[in-house]
Amino acid sequence: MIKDLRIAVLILLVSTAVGLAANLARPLPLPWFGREIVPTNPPAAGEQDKGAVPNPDTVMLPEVVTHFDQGTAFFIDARKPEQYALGHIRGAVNLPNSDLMGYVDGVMEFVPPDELVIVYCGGGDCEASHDVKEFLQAYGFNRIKIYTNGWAELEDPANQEQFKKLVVSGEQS
Amino acid sequence: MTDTKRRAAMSWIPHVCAVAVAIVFLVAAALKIWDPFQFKTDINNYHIIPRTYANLFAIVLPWWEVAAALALILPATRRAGALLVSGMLVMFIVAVSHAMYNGYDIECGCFGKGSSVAGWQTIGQDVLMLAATGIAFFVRPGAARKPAFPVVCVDSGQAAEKPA
Repeated sequence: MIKDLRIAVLILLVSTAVGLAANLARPLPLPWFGREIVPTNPPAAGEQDKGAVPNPDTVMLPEVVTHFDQGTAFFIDARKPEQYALGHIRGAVNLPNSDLMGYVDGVMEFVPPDELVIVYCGGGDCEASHDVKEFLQAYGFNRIKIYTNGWAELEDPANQEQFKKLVVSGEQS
Repeated sequence: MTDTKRRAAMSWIPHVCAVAVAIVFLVAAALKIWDPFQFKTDINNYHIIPRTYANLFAIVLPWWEVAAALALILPATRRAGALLVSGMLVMFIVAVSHAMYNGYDIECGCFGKGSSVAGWQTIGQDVLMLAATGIAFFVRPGAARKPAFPVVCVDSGQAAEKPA
């Protein structure tokens, strides 16, 4: 049994080295370390920011609207295709974190890597947008921000009328 | 079926179990190696490993699966391979159980994109493979075959005699 354990440990060590080397040999290697999601505490509407450190990697709804109006950003929807089909930001391209390789060609076709990209997902504790951001960075996109509150804020009945121009529902797409 | 034929048939069972589990592991590993970003996303969905280290895990785990599967196939390293495979299966079962306990509606990530939902089916499959791996580990192919008579070492080089 001890002999078997020793062989098992040796196999683990060798295969770890092979795995690390194989990643280096990839045309698109996975970054060695991921990034933790820094929680943001956006101020409520009408309130002043009470000391939360602004996160330059995230955007709030007013900035989203500005970029939308001025056409200065591309939007990427990181939710599942069926959620995207029910409604999304007008002009947003779907890149679901459940099928990154399957949809990335569509993104590359429409979104230049050197343009500003705003990624969103469901909002709240949804992490899909962060996964998509890391994926796009590997593809050479270096101007990516995350719309933290995401679709949850846009489909909020309190906001729907105000930001109707921003979204397209499933019937319209 | 005679006793000898039955023993001969049963001696293949650990081989079949080992190869079957190894094939599943090799296919699963290949799909994960092909799309490491997807696998990293699947790992993050479990909320067990910090996002900082999920990438490293996504990079090396598929190769652990490959190595363990190959070790399982080779008789010389079968028991070591079985230990590795069993350890990974237990880890997968614990992870899926964690996801179910916390109500996560996520894909298990077992076979890359489009994997089944992390649920009872996944646990059932893993338990089945664990049982097959156990057979490969504990049942030695030659154990079913008992000698027809005691074999005696004879220094003189004469063949052992069958007792009366």
